[in-house]
Amino acid sequence: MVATTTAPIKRAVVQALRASPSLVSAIAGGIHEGVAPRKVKYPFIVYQLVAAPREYQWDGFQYHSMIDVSTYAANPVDANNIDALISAALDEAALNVNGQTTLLCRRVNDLPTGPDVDSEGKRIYQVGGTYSIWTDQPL
Amino acid sequence: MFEEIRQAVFEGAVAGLGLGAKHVAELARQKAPVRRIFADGGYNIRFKSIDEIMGDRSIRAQLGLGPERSRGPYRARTTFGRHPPVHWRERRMSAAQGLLENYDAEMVRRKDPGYLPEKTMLTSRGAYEVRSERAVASSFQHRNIGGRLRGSISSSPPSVSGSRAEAWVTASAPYAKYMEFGTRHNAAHPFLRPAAEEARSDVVRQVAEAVNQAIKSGTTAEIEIVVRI
Repeated sequence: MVATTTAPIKRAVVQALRASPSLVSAIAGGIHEGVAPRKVKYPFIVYQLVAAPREYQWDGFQYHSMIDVSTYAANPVDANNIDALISAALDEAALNVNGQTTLLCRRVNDLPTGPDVDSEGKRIYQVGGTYSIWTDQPL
Repeated sequence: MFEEIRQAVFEGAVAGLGLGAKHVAELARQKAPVRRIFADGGYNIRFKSIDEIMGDRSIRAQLGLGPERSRGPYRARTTFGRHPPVHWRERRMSAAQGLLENYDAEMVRRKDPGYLPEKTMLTSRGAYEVRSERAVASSFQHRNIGGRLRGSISSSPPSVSGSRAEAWVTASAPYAKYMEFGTRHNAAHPFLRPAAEEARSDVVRQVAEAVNQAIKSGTTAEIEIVVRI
């Protein structure tokens, strides 16, 4: 059996975020990996894989992956509200990861980020959290 | 008897934790992003961190040696030219003026029509970083060019309060947070958390080994210990 990588995990996270209608309607700028393009409207979501070490066992391995999901908004209220919606969509969620069994998906900490200034000089707010996702797959 | 064993176990765990923190810091240094300051390389020179120098200090003192000088391996001295620096002297801030003059002279020559550009030691980004002193990393005795983030990563010795012990691995460079968590303009380049995740099983093993060592030296009792983080 061919082992799958972390790509299905990231896909499952985006699917879980898109499955929440309230969250989709709240983000005008969409969901981006790594960094959002310059002209994207606020608010938007950025996710990034932080680490995904493999823990090998006799019959397969587990991915202990960590993903940062943060929201960028023009005001702190929007940023915090969207972050709460992200947390509701992902914390303790049963992710549908292709080729892997999800063991847990849990918010493990909040990101210590704060206000920033974008390229047009506008004050923006970054709020987010780190999600620990453990998946299992047989070899 | 039980109290002695308990104390030995705890002391062993604290010692193992200290070793684990150093291991995490070393991994984080390897993972820390490096800006392209020098053209075509020049990153093979690795300066010892303050942490490493201070760690070797007591052993060197026992051998009658003074504190180690923070510098890379000796290489033949090169002059400022078209090649990336291969000598530790060229990575010192004292060499910054020479590097910038070399870069600026090449930029002036490039304005002449028909001039074939030659390589410079610094990249354009590197020249900006050196000029604005953004790329300065202070090591034990010297100020170096480049490696500021990497040089700022250090581990603290374990601190004990009651039955709890903790050790911290920190990056003190002011922009470390933006590298770790990303900004509106730049994607994150995490280095501390991946290092901690990667070292998790090694840290557990180091703590377990240190605990077993402490028990063996303190008592003849046979105990199997499983450590979880």
